[in-house]
Amino acid sequence: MTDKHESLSALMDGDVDLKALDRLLSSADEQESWTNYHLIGQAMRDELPARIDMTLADRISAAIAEEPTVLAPQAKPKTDSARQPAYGKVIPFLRHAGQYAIAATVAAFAVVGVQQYAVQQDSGTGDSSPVVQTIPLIGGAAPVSASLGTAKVLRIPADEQQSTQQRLVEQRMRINAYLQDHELQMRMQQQADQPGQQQDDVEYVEPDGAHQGE
Amino acid sequence: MWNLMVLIKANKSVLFSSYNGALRGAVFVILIAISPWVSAADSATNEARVWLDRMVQSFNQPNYSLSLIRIQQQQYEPLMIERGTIDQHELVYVNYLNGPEREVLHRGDLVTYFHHDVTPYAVRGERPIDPLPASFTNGFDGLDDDYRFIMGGRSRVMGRPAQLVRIEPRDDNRFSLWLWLDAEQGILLRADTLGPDDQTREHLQVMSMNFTREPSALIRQLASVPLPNDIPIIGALPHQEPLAWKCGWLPHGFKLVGHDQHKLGLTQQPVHYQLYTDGLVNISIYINTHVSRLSSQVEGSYGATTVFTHAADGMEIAIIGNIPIATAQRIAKHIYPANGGGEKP
Repeated sequence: MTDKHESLSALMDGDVDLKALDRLLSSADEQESWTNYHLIGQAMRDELPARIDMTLADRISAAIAEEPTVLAPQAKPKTDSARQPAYGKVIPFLRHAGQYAIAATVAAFAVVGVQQYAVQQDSGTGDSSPVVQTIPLIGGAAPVSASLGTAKVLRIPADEQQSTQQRLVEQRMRINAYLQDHELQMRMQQQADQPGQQQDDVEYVEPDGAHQGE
Repeated sequence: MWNLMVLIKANKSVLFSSYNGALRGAVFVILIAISPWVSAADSATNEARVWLDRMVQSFNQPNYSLSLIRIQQQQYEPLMIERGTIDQHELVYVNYLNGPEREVLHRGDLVTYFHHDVTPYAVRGERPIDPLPASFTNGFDGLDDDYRFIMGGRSRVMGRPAQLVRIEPRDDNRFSLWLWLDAEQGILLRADTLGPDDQTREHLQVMSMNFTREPSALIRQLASVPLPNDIPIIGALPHQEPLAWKCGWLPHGFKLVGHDQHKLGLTQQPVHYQLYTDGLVNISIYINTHVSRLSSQVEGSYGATTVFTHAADGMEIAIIGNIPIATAQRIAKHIYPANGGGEKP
Protein backbone atom coordinates (compact mmCIF):
# COMPACT_ATOMS: atom_id res chain seq x y z
CA MET A 1 0.00 0.00 0.00
CA THR A 2 2.77 2.37 0.84
CA ASP A 3 4.38 2.33 -2.52
CA LYS A 4 1.03 3.02 -4.12
CA HIS A 5 0.82 6.18 -2.06
CA GLU A 6 4.36 7.01 -2.87
CA SER A 7 3.84 6.68 -6.55
CA LEU A 8 0.68 8.78 -6.33
CA SER A 9 2.63 11.48 -4.57
CA ALA A 10 5.31 11.24 -7.18
CA LEU A 11 2.70 11.61 -9.86
CA MET A 12 1.30 14.66 -8.13
CA ASP A 13 4.72 16.17 -8.08
CA GLY A 14 4.96 15.70 -11.78
CA ASP A 15 7.12 12.62 -11.96
CA VAL A 16 5.48 10.81 -14.73
CA ASP A 17 5.58 7.10 -14.45
CA LEU A 18 3.47 5.59 -17.18
CA LYS A 19 2.72 2.48 -15.29
CA ALA A 20 1.55 4.41 -12.27
CA LEU A 21 -0.49 6.60 -14.55
CA ASP A 22 -2.17 3.60 -16.10
CA ARG A 23 -2.93 2.22 -12.74
CA LEU A 24 -4.41 5.49 -11.64
CA LEU A 25 -6.59 5.78 -14.68
CA SER A 26 -8.03 2.35 -14.26
CA SER A 27 -8.60 2.22 -10.54
CA ALA A 28 -11.49 3.96 -8.86
CA ASP A 29 -9.79 3.68 -5.49
CA GLU A 30 -6.66 5.32 -6.73
CA GLN A 31 -8.66 8.06 -8.31
CA GLU A 32 -10.40 8.75 -5.08
CA SER A 33 -7.06 8.95 -3.33
CA TRP A 34 -5.86 11.27 -6.05
CA THR A 35 -8.77 13.59 -5.45
CA ASN A 36 -8.28 13.50 -1.73
CA TYR A 37 -4.59 14.22 -1.94
CA HIS A 38 -5.26 17.23 -4.08
CA LEU A 39 -7.92 18.48 -1.77
CA ILE A 40 -5.58 18.10 1.17
CA GLY A 41 -2.90 19.99 -0.66
CA GLN A 42 -5.28 22.75 -1.54
CA ALA A 43 -6.56 22.94 2.00
CA MET A 44 -3.04 23.27 3.29
CA ARG A 45 -2.32 26.05 0.88
CA ASP A 46 -5.65 27.66 1.66
CA GLU A 47 -6.75 27.34 -1.91
CA LEU A 48 -9.98 25.54 -1.36
CA PRO A 49 -12.92 26.98 -3.22
CA ALA A 50 -15.81 27.90 -0.99
CA ARG A 51 -17.75 25.08 -2.47
CA ILE A 52 -16.28 21.81 -3.45
CA ASP A 53 -18.11 19.81 -5.99
CA MET A 54 -17.08 16.26 -5.42
CA THR A 55 -19.06 14.99 -8.30
CA LEU A 56 -17.95 17.29 -11.05
CA ALA A 57 -15.12 15.05 -12.13
CA ASP A 58 -17.40 12.05 -12.11
CA ARG A 59 -19.94 13.82 -14.18
CA ILE A 60 -17.35 14.91 -16.61
CA SER A 61 -16.04 11.35 -16.85
CA ALA A 62 -19.50 10.04 -17.46
CA ALA A 63 -20.10 12.62 -20.11
CA ILE A 64 -16.79 11.87 -21.74
CA ALA A 65 -17.61 8.18 -21.75
CA GLU A 66 -20.82 8.90 -23.59
CA GLU A 67 -19.24 11.09 -26.23
CA PRO A 68 -15.82 9.80 -26.96
CA THR A 69 -15.53 11.76 -30.16
CA VAL A 70 -15.73 14.98 -28.25
CA LEU A 71 -12.51 14.42 -26.38
CA ALA A 72 -9.12 15.53 -27.49
CA PRO A 73 -9.71 18.14 -30.10
CA GLN A 74 -6.59 17.99 -32.21
CA ALA A 75 -4.09 20.51 -31.13
CA LYS A 76 -4.69 23.23 -33.64
CA PRO A 77 -2.32 26.07 -34.25
CA LYS A 78 -3.51 28.86 -32.06
CA THR A 79 -5.17 31.18 -34.47
CA ASP A 80 -7.13 34.26 -33.81
CA SER A 81 -9.78 32.12 -32.28
CA ALA A 82 -10.71 34.79 -29.85
CA ARG A 83 -11.96 36.73 -32.82
CA GLN A 84 -12.99 34.08 -35.28
CA PRO A 85 -14.54 30.97 -33.84
CA ALA A 86 -14.44 28.31 -36.49
CA TYR A 87 -18.06 27.66 -37.24
CA GLY A 88 -19.65 26.30 -40.30
CA LYS A 89 -22.50 27.19 -42.45
CA VAL A 90 -25.00 29.91 -41.89
CA ILE A 91 -28.54 28.66 -41.86
CA PRO A 92 -30.98 31.37 -42.72
CA PHE A 93 -34.36 31.51 -41.13
CA LEU A 94 -36.41 29.29 -43.35
CA ARG A 95 -39.35 31.34 -44.32
CA HIS A 96 -41.79 29.03 -45.92
CA ALA A 97 -40.91 25.90 -44.15
CA GLY A 98 -40.84 28.30 -41.24
CA GLN A 99 -38.82 26.06 -39.05
CA TYR A 100 -35.78 27.15 -37.17
CA ALA A 101 -33.02 24.66 -37.71
CA ILE A 102 -32.89 23.88 -34.04
CA ALA A 103 -35.25 22.62 -31.44
CA ALA A 104 -36.68 25.46 -29.46
CA THR A 105 -36.08 23.92 -26.09
CA VAL A 106 -35.17 26.11 -23.26
CA ALA A 107 -35.91 25.53 -19.62
CA ALA A 108 -39.09 23.60 -19.12
CA PHE A 109 -41.65 26.13 -18.16
CA ALA A 110 -43.98 25.38 -15.37
CA VAL A 111 -46.55 28.03 -15.98
CA VAL A 112 -48.92 27.83 -13.12
CA GLY A 113 -52.34 29.19 -12.96
CA VAL A 114 -53.93 30.37 -16.13
CA GLN A 115 -57.31 32.01 -16.04
CA GLN A 116 -59.43 31.11 -18.94
CA TYR A 117 -62.48 32.99 -19.92
CA ALA A 118 -64.85 30.94 -21.96
CA VAL A 119 -68.31 32.04 -22.88
CA GLN A 120 -70.55 29.04 -22.54
CA GLN A 121 -73.36 29.54 -24.97
CA ASP A 122 -75.29 26.34 -24.48
CA SER A 123 -74.61 25.28 -20.99
CA GLY A 124 -77.36 23.19 -19.47
CA THR A 125 -78.45 25.90 -17.12
CA GLY A 126 -78.85 28.42 -19.91
CA ASP A 127 -76.35 30.65 -18.25
CA SER A 128 -74.16 32.34 -20.79
CA SER A 129 -72.13 34.50 -18.52
CA PRO A 130 -68.39 34.08 -18.78
CA VAL A 131 -67.02 31.41 -16.53
CA VAL A 132 -63.56 31.39 -15.19
CA GLN A 133 -61.50 28.31 -14.73
CA THR A 134 -57.98 28.24 -13.47
CA ILE A 135 -55.99 25.49 -15.03
CA PRO A 136 -52.49 24.32 -14.37
CA LEU A 137 -50.32 23.99 -17.41
CA ILE A 138 -47.81 21.40 -18.42
CA GLY A 139 -45.32 20.74 -15.72
CA GLY A 140 -47.18 22.90 -13.29
CA ALA A 141 -48.10 20.75 -10.37
CA ALA A 142 -47.66 23.77 -8.16
CA PRO A 143 -50.63 25.60 -6.76
CA VAL A 144 -52.32 28.39 -8.61
CA SER A 145 -50.56 31.69 -8.49
CA ALA A 146 -52.24 33.87 -5.93
CA SER A 147 -52.14 36.89 -8.18
CA LEU A 148 -54.68 35.42 -10.53
CA GLY A 149 -57.52 35.44 -8.11
CA THR A 150 -60.08 32.82 -7.32
CA ALA A 151 -61.73 30.49 -9.76
CA LYS A 152 -65.41 30.09 -10.20
CA VAL A 153 -66.86 26.69 -10.71
CA LEU A 154 -67.09 25.73 -14.30
CA ARG A 155 -70.39 24.25 -15.29
CA ILE A 156 -70.19 22.28 -18.47
CA PRO A 157 -72.78 19.86 -19.77
CA ALA A 158 -71.44 16.34 -19.94
CA ASP A 159 -71.41 16.14 -23.71
CA GLU A 160 -69.27 19.24 -23.98
CA GLN A 161 -66.79 18.10 -21.45
CA GLN A 162 -64.56 16.11 -23.70
CA SER A 163 -64.13 18.74 -26.34
CA THR A 164 -63.57 21.34 -23.66
CA GLN A 165 -60.97 19.10 -22.14
CA GLN A 166 -59.22 18.74 -25.45
CA ARG A 167 -59.35 22.43 -26.02
CA LEU A 168 -57.79 23.08 -22.65
CA VAL A 169 -55.02 20.61 -23.30
CA GLU A 170 -54.24 22.23 -26.60
CA GLN A 171 -54.40 25.62 -24.98
CA ARG A 172 -51.86 24.56 -22.42
CA MET A 173 -49.51 23.31 -25.06
CA ARG A 174 -49.81 26.52 -27.01
CA ILE A 175 -49.11 28.72 -24.02
CA ASN A 176 -45.97 26.76 -23.29
CA ALA A 177 -45.06 26.94 -26.96
CA TYR A 178 -45.37 30.73 -26.97
CA LEU A 179 -43.33 31.08 -23.80
CA GLN A 180 -40.54 28.87 -25.08
CA ASP A 181 -40.53 30.59 -28.42
CA HIS A 182 -40.44 34.02 -26.78
CA GLU A 183 -37.25 33.06 -24.97
CA LEU A 184 -35.78 31.75 -28.17
CA GLN A 185 -36.78 34.78 -30.23
CA MET A 186 -35.18 37.19 -27.81
CA ARG A 187 -31.93 35.54 -28.80
CA MET A 188 -32.63 35.19 -32.48
CA GLN A 189 -34.13 38.49 -33.42
CA GLN A 190 -31.40 41.02 -33.39
CA GLN A 191 -31.39 42.86 -36.61
CA ALA A 192 -30.09 46.18 -35.46
CA ASP A 193 -27.34 46.11 -38.00
CA GLN A 194 -29.54 45.11 -40.89
CA PRO A 195 -29.98 47.99 -43.27
CA GLY A 196 -33.50 49.12 -43.74
CA GLN A 197 -34.69 47.79 -40.45
CA GLN A 198 -38.12 49.24 -40.67
CA GLN A 199 -39.21 51.10 -37.67
CA ASP A 200 -41.58 53.03 -39.85
CA ASP A 201 -43.48 49.90 -40.71
CA VAL A 202 -45.00 50.17 -37.31
CA GLU A 203 -47.58 52.84 -37.02
CA TYR A 204 -47.17 53.95 -33.52
CA VAL A 205 -50.21 55.65 -32.15
CA GLU A 206 -50.04 57.73 -29.02
CA PRO A 207 -52.05 56.16 -26.24
CA ASP A 208 -55.27 57.80 -25.30
CA GLY A 209 -54.57 60.59 -22.90
CA ALA A 210 -51.36 62.47 -23.17
CA HIS A 211 -48.28 60.53 -22.44
CA GLN A 212 -46.72 62.16 -19.45
CA GLY A 213 -43.34 63.67 -19.58
CA GLU A 214 -41.72 64.77 -16.40
CA MET B 1 -24.87 15.74 -25.50
CA TRP B 2 -22.81 18.81 -26.01
CA ASN B 3 -21.22 20.38 -23.06
CA LEU B 4 -18.61 23.08 -23.04
CA MET B 5 -17.16 21.84 -19.81
CA VAL B 6 -16.43 18.49 -21.39
CA LEU B 7 -14.70 20.13 -24.28
CA ILE B 8 -12.30 22.07 -22.18
CA LYS B 9 -11.81 19.28 -19.66
CA ALA B 10 -11.54 21.92 -17.03
CA ASN B 11 -12.28 20.63 -13.62
CA LYS B 12 -13.35 24.06 -12.75
CA SER B 13 -15.79 24.66 -10.00
CA VAL B 14 -17.82 27.74 -10.11
CA LEU B 15 -16.19 30.72 -8.57
CA PHE B 16 -18.37 31.06 -5.55
CA SER B 17 -16.58 33.06 -3.04
CA SER B 18 -17.81 34.62 0.07
CA TYR B 19 -18.47 38.15 -0.88
CA ASN B 20 -18.95 39.36 2.59
CA GLY B 21 -15.96 41.65 2.85
CA ALA B 22 -13.41 38.95 2.06
CA LEU B 23 -11.98 40.10 -1.22
CA ARG B 24 -8.76 38.13 -1.33
CA GLY B 25 -7.22 38.33 -4.73
CA ALA B 26 -10.00 40.47 -6.13
CA VAL B 27 -9.26 43.97 -7.24
CA PHE B 28 -11.98 46.51 -7.48
CA VAL B 29 -11.62 49.01 -10.22
CA ILE B 30 -12.36 52.56 -9.34
CA LEU B 31 -15.82 53.63 -10.22
CA ILE B 32 -16.87 57.08 -11.21
CA ALA B 33 -17.26 59.86 -8.75
CA ILE B 34 -20.50 61.67 -8.29
CA SER B 35 -20.67 64.85 -10.29
CA PRO B 36 -20.67 67.98 -8.13
CA TRP B 37 -22.92 70.05 -10.23
CA VAL B 38 -26.54 69.17 -10.24
CA SER B 39 -29.38 71.62 -10.19
CA ALA B 40 -31.56 71.40 -7.17
CA ALA B 41 -34.56 70.26 -9.14
CA ASP B 42 -32.77 67.43 -10.87
CA SER B 43 -30.50 66.40 -8.12
CA ALA B 44 -32.47 63.38 -7.01
CA THR B 45 -32.92 62.04 -10.53
CA ASN B 46 -29.34 62.76 -11.45
CA GLU B 47 -28.08 61.08 -8.36
CA ALA B 48 -30.10 57.95 -9.12
CA ARG B 49 -28.81 58.03 -12.64
CA VAL B 50 -25.26 58.32 -11.40
CA TRP B 51 -25.71 55.24 -9.25
CA LEU B 52 -27.11 53.36 -12.24
CA ASP B 53 -24.24 54.47 -14.43
CA ARG B 54 -21.86 53.20 -11.82
CA MET B 55 -23.59 49.83 -11.89
CA VAL B 56 -23.34 49.77 -15.68
CA GLN B 57 -19.65 50.48 -15.37
CA SER B 58 -19.25 47.52 -13.06
CA PHE B 59 -20.88 45.23 -15.60
CA ASN B 60 -18.44 46.51 -18.19
CA GLN B 61 -15.32 45.77 -16.22
CA PRO B 62 -13.03 43.60 -18.29
CA ASN B 63 -12.76 40.60 -16.01
CA TYR B 64 -15.26 39.42 -13.50
CA SER B 65 -17.12 36.44 -12.29
CA LEU B 66 -20.63 36.77 -11.01
CA SER B 67 -22.95 34.27 -9.42
CA LEU B 68 -26.60 34.94 -8.95
CA ILE B 69 -29.97 33.34 -8.43
CA ARG B 70 -33.04 34.19 -10.40
CA ILE B 71 -36.35 33.46 -8.74
CA GLN B 72 -39.55 33.32 -10.76
CA GLN B 73 -42.63 32.04 -9.04
CA GLN B 74 -41.38 28.96 -7.25
CA GLN B 75 -38.51 28.36 -9.62
CA TYR B 76 -35.01 28.99 -8.40
CA GLU B 77 -32.42 29.34 -11.10
CA PRO B 78 -28.84 29.75 -9.95
CA LEU B 79 -26.37 30.72 -12.61
CA MET B 80 -22.89 32.05 -13.05
CA ILE B 81 -21.61 34.61 -15.48
CA GLU B 82 -17.96 34.91 -16.22
CA ARG B 83 -16.54 37.67 -18.29
CA GLY B 84 -13.00 38.09 -19.52
CA THR B 85 -11.09 40.24 -21.92
CA ILE B 86 -8.13 38.88 -23.83
CA ASP B 87 -6.32 41.13 -26.29
CA GLN B 88 -9.32 43.40 -26.21
CA HIS B 89 -11.64 40.60 -27.22
CA GLU B 90 -14.46 40.05 -24.87
CA LEU B 91 -15.76 36.68 -23.84
CA VAL B 92 -18.71 35.95 -21.68
CA TYR B 93 -19.63 32.52 -20.39
CA VAL B 94 -22.97 31.82 -18.76
CA ASN B 95 -23.71 28.58 -17.00
CA TYR B 96 -27.06 27.62 -15.53
CA LEU B 97 -26.25 25.53 -12.56
CA ASN B 98 -29.39 23.51 -11.87
CA GLY B 99 -30.91 20.87 -14.03
CA PRO B 100 -29.74 19.71 -17.44
CA GLU B 101 -26.80 21.66 -18.72
CA ARG B 102 -27.38 25.01 -20.33
CA GLU B 103 -24.41 27.13 -21.26
CA VAL B 104 -23.95 30.19 -23.39
CA LEU B 105 -20.72 31.47 -24.81
CA HIS B 106 -20.36 35.00 -26.18
CA ARG B 107 -17.17 34.99 -28.18
CA GLY B 108 -16.22 37.29 -31.00
CA ASP B 109 -19.12 37.90 -33.25
CA LEU B 110 -21.05 34.84 -32.19
CA VAL B 111 -23.17 33.74 -29.30
CA THR B 112 -23.42 29.98 -28.99
CA TYR B 113 -26.00 28.09 -27.01
CA PHE B 114 -25.28 24.71 -25.57
CA HIS B 115 -28.24 22.89 -24.14
CA HIS B 116 -28.40 19.37 -22.90
CA ASP B 117 -30.00 17.16 -25.53
CA VAL B 118 -30.19 19.87 -28.16
CA THR B 119 -27.80 20.47 -31.01
CA PRO B 120 -25.85 23.60 -30.20
CA TYR B 121 -26.56 26.64 -32.30
CA ALA B 122 -25.20 30.12 -32.68
CA VAL B 123 -26.37 33.57 -33.61
CA ARG B 124 -24.38 36.50 -34.89
CA GLY B 125 -24.05 39.85 -33.30
CA GLU B 126 -24.22 41.23 -29.83
CA ARG B 127 -26.74 39.95 -27.41
CA PRO B 128 -27.53 40.99 -23.90
CA ILE B 129 -26.23 38.65 -21.26
CA ASP B 130 -29.36 36.89 -20.22
CA PRO B 131 -30.91 37.19 -17.61
CA LEU B 132 -29.57 40.70 -17.18
CA PRO B 133 -31.52 43.34 -19.09
CA ALA B 134 -29.62 44.90 -21.97
CA SER B 135 -29.54 48.24 -20.15
CA PHE B 136 -27.38 46.84 -17.40
CA THR B 137 -24.50 46.67 -19.85
CA ASN B 138 -25.56 49.18 -22.48
CA GLY B 139 -26.61 51.94 -20.15
CA PHE B 140 -29.81 53.76 -19.39
CA ASP B 141 -29.63 56.54 -21.97
CA GLY B 142 -32.77 56.81 -23.95
CA LEU B 143 -34.96 55.43 -21.19
CA ASP B 144 -35.68 58.84 -19.67
CA ASP B 145 -38.81 59.30 -21.73
CA ASP B 146 -40.42 56.22 -20.35
CA TYR B 147 -38.88 55.70 -16.93
CA ARG B 148 -37.98 57.75 -13.91
CA PHE B 149 -34.95 57.02 -11.77
CA ILE B 150 -35.54 57.58 -8.08
CA MET B 151 -33.30 57.28 -5.06
CA GLY B 152 -34.67 55.05 -2.36
CA GLY B 153 -33.41 54.36 1.11
CA ARG B 154 -30.57 52.36 2.55
CA SER B 155 -30.74 48.85 3.83
CA ARG B 156 -28.59 45.81 4.27
CA VAL B 157 -28.36 43.30 1.45
CA MET B 158 -25.97 40.34 1.27
CA GLY B 159 -24.28 41.62 4.40
CA ARG B 160 -23.47 44.96 2.78
CA PRO B 161 -24.92 48.46 3.13
CA ALA B 162 -27.06 48.93 0.07
CA GLN B 163 -28.63 51.87 -1.72
CA LEU B 164 -32.01 51.34 -3.31
CA VAL B 165 -32.51 52.86 -6.76
CA ARG B 166 -35.96 52.58 -8.26
CA ILE B 167 -36.67 52.53 -11.95
CA GLU B 168 -40.30 53.50 -12.23
CA PRO B 169 -42.28 53.64 -15.45
CA ARG B 170 -43.91 56.92 -16.33
CA ASP B 171 -47.09 55.17 -17.38
CA ASP B 172 -48.99 52.09 -16.26
CA ASN B 173 -47.75 50.01 -19.11
CA ARG B 174 -44.59 48.67 -17.62
CA PHE B 175 -43.21 47.08 -14.52
CA SER B 176 -40.93 48.73 -12.00
CA LEU B 177 -37.39 47.61 -11.39
CA TRP B 178 -35.93 48.09 -7.94
CA LEU B 179 -32.19 47.76 -7.67
CA TRP B 180 -30.16 47.50 -4.51
CA LEU B 181 -26.61 48.63 -5.16
CA ASP B 182 -23.63 48.22 -2.92
CA ALA B 183 -23.23 51.50 -1.08
CA GLU B 184 -19.46 51.49 -1.41
CA GLN B 185 -18.77 49.82 -4.70
CA GLY B 186 -21.96 50.43 -6.60
CA ILE B 187 -22.36 46.90 -7.88
CA LEU B 188 -25.70 45.18 -8.10
CA LEU B 189 -26.74 43.18 -5.09
CA ARG B 190 -30.39 42.55 -5.80
CA ALA B 191 -32.95 43.38 -8.48
CA ASP B 192 -36.71 43.01 -8.12
CA THR B 193 -39.29 43.34 -10.86
CA LEU B 194 -42.54 44.66 -9.43
CA GLY B 195 -45.98 44.70 -10.97
CA PRO B 196 -48.37 47.65 -10.81
CA ASP B 197 -49.74 46.19 -7.61
CA ASP B 198 -46.23 46.37 -6.12
CA GLN B 199 -46.05 42.62 -5.96
CA THR B 200 -42.62 41.18 -6.70
CA ARG B 201 -42.83 39.16 -9.89
CA GLU B 202 -39.21 38.26 -10.29
CA HIS B 203 -36.18 38.48 -8.11
CA LEU B 204 -32.50 38.47 -9.01
CA GLN B 205 -30.15 37.93 -6.09
CA VAL B 206 -26.43 38.39 -6.61
CA MET B 207 -24.48 35.95 -4.49
CA SER B 208 -20.98 37.02 -5.36
CA MET B 209 -19.10 39.23 -7.76
CA ASN B 210 -15.36 39.07 -8.12
CA PHE B 211 -13.29 41.41 -10.23
CA THR B 212 -9.79 40.52 -11.30
CA ARG B 213 -7.05 42.18 -13.29
CA GLU B 214 -6.49 39.18 -15.46
CA PRO B 215 -8.98 36.87 -17.11
CA SER B 216 -9.54 33.61 -15.33
CA ALA B 217 -8.18 30.28 -16.43
CA LEU B 218 -11.64 29.27 -17.55
CA ILE B 219 -11.92 32.28 -19.82
CA ARG B 220 -8.48 31.66 -21.21
CA GLN B 221 -9.45 28.15 -22.11
CA LEU B 222 -12.75 29.24 -23.60
CA ALA B 223 -10.97 31.83 -25.69
CA SER B 224 -8.99 29.24 -27.54
CA VAL B 225 -10.98 26.05 -27.39
CA PRO B 226 -11.83 25.02 -30.92
CA LEU B 227 -15.56 24.53 -31.10
CA PRO B 228 -17.10 21.96 -33.40
CA ASN B 229 -17.38 23.39 -36.87
CA ASP B 230 -20.79 22.05 -37.63
CA ILE B 231 -22.64 24.32 -35.27
CA PRO B 232 -25.27 26.07 -37.36
CA ILE B 233 -25.39 29.83 -37.25
CA ILE B 234 -28.96 30.94 -37.36
CA GLY B 235 -29.28 34.09 -39.39
CA ALA B 236 -31.89 36.18 -41.05
CA LEU B 237 -32.53 36.22 -44.75
CA PRO B 238 -31.22 39.37 -46.39
CA HIS B 239 -34.60 40.51 -47.65
CA GLN B 240 -37.32 40.98 -45.14
CA GLU B 241 -40.90 40.58 -46.11
CA PRO B 242 -43.05 43.50 -45.14
CA LEU B 243 -45.15 43.09 -42.05
CA ALA B 244 -48.38 41.24 -42.59
CA TRP B 245 -49.86 42.52 -39.36
CA LYS B 246 -49.49 45.86 -37.65
CA CYS B 247 -49.87 47.20 -34.18
CA GLY B 248 -52.29 50.03 -33.80
CA TRP B 249 -51.09 50.69 -30.31
CA LEU B 250 -47.98 50.07 -28.29
CA PRO B 251 -46.71 51.76 -25.16
CA HIS B 252 -44.47 54.69 -25.93
CA GLY B 253 -40.87 53.89 -26.73
CA PHE B 254 -41.26 50.37 -28.05
CA LYS B 255 -39.52 49.73 -31.33
CA LEU B 256 -39.64 46.80 -33.70
CA VAL B 257 -36.57 44.61 -33.36
CA GLY B 258 -37.46 41.85 -35.77
CA HIS B 259 -40.23 39.90 -37.37
CA ASP B 260 -40.72 36.79 -39.40
CA GLN B 261 -42.89 33.77 -39.91
CA HIS B 262 -41.78 30.59 -38.26
CA LYS B 263 -43.10 27.49 -36.59
CA LEU B 264 -43.46 27.19 -32.87
CA GLY B 265 -41.07 24.51 -31.73
CA LEU B 266 -43.48 22.81 -29.39
CA THR B 267 -46.60 22.66 -31.51
CA GLN B 268 -45.21 23.12 -35.02
CA GLN B 269 -47.83 25.74 -35.80
CA PRO B 270 -46.70 28.45 -38.20
CA VAL B 271 -47.05 31.91 -36.73
CA HIS B 272 -46.47 35.50 -37.77
CA TYR B 273 -44.11 36.95 -35.26
CA GLN B 274 -42.93 40.39 -34.15
CA LEU B 275 -40.57 41.42 -31.38
CA TYR B 276 -40.54 44.87 -29.80
CA THR B 277 -38.33 46.40 -27.15
CA ASP B 278 -38.05 49.63 -25.20
CA GLY B 279 -34.50 48.85 -24.13
CA LEU B 280 -35.46 47.23 -20.87
CA VAL B 281 -38.42 45.07 -21.75
CA ASN B 282 -39.23 42.83 -24.73
CA ILE B 283 -42.69 42.09 -26.12
CA SER B 284 -43.41 39.21 -28.49
CA ILE B 285 -46.51 39.23 -30.63
CA TYR B 286 -47.78 36.06 -32.27
CA ILE B 287 -50.54 35.71 -34.83
CA ASN B 288 -51.58 32.09 -35.06
CA THR B 289 -54.06 31.13 -37.73
CA HIS B 290 -53.74 27.41 -37.15
CA VAL B 291 -55.75 26.98 -34.01
CA SER B 292 -58.67 24.64 -34.48
CA ARG B 293 -60.30 25.14 -31.14
CA LEU B 294 -60.03 28.70 -29.96
CA SER B 295 -60.58 29.97 -26.48
CA SER B 296 -61.73 33.50 -26.29
CA GLN B 297 -59.14 34.73 -23.87
CA VAL B 298 -56.42 33.31 -21.71
CA GLU B 299 -54.19 35.13 -19.27
CA GLY B 300 -51.31 33.74 -17.34
CA SER B 301 -47.91 34.54 -16.04
CA TYR B 302 -44.57 32.96 -15.43
CA GLY B 303 -42.59 35.06 -13.01
CA ALA B 304 -42.49 38.51 -14.51
CA THR B 305 -43.56 37.30 -17.94
CA THR B 306 -47.19 37.85 -18.84
CA VAL B 307 -48.93 35.63 -21.34
CA PHE B 308 -52.13 36.81 -22.95
CA THR B 309 -53.98 35.16 -25.80
CA HIS B 310 -57.01 36.52 -27.52
CA ALA B 311 -59.17 35.02 -30.23
CA ALA B 312 -60.42 37.22 -33.04
CA ASP B 313 -61.60 36.44 -36.55
CA GLY B 314 -60.70 32.79 -36.35
CA MET B 315 -57.14 33.33 -35.27
CA GLU B 316 -55.27 33.61 -32.02
CA ILE B 317 -53.21 36.63 -31.04
CA ALA B 318 -50.68 36.02 -28.28
CA ILE B 319 -48.77 38.72 -26.43
CA ILE B 320 -45.82 37.65 -24.29
CA GLY B 321 -43.61 39.96 -22.29
CA ASN B 322 -42.76 41.50 -18.95
CA ILE B 323 -45.68 43.89 -19.04
CA PRO B 324 -48.89 44.22 -17.06
CA ILE B 325 -51.81 42.17 -18.26
CA ALA B 326 -53.86 45.27 -19.07
CA THR B 327 -51.15 46.43 -21.43
CA ALA B 328 -51.05 43.06 -23.16
CA GLN B 329 -54.82 43.12 -23.53
CA ARG B 330 -54.71 46.55 -25.04
CA ILE B 331 -52.02 45.66 -27.55
CA ALA B 332 -53.94 42.56 -28.62
CA LYS B 333 -57.06 44.57 -29.30
CA HIS B 334 -55.23 46.88 -31.68
CA ILE B 335 -53.65 44.42 -34.05
CA TYR B 336 -54.84 44.62 -37.61
CA PRO B 337 -53.83 43.28 -41.02
CA ALA B 338 -51.36 45.44 -42.85
CA ASN B 339 -52.92 45.31 -46.25
CA GLY B 340 -56.26 46.77 -45.48
CA GLY B 341 -57.90 43.40 -45.23
CA GLY B 342 -59.69 44.49 -42.11
CA GLU B 343 -60.75 47.59 -40.38
CA LYS B 344 -58.17 49.38 -38.37
CA PRO B 345 -59.70 49.78 -34.95
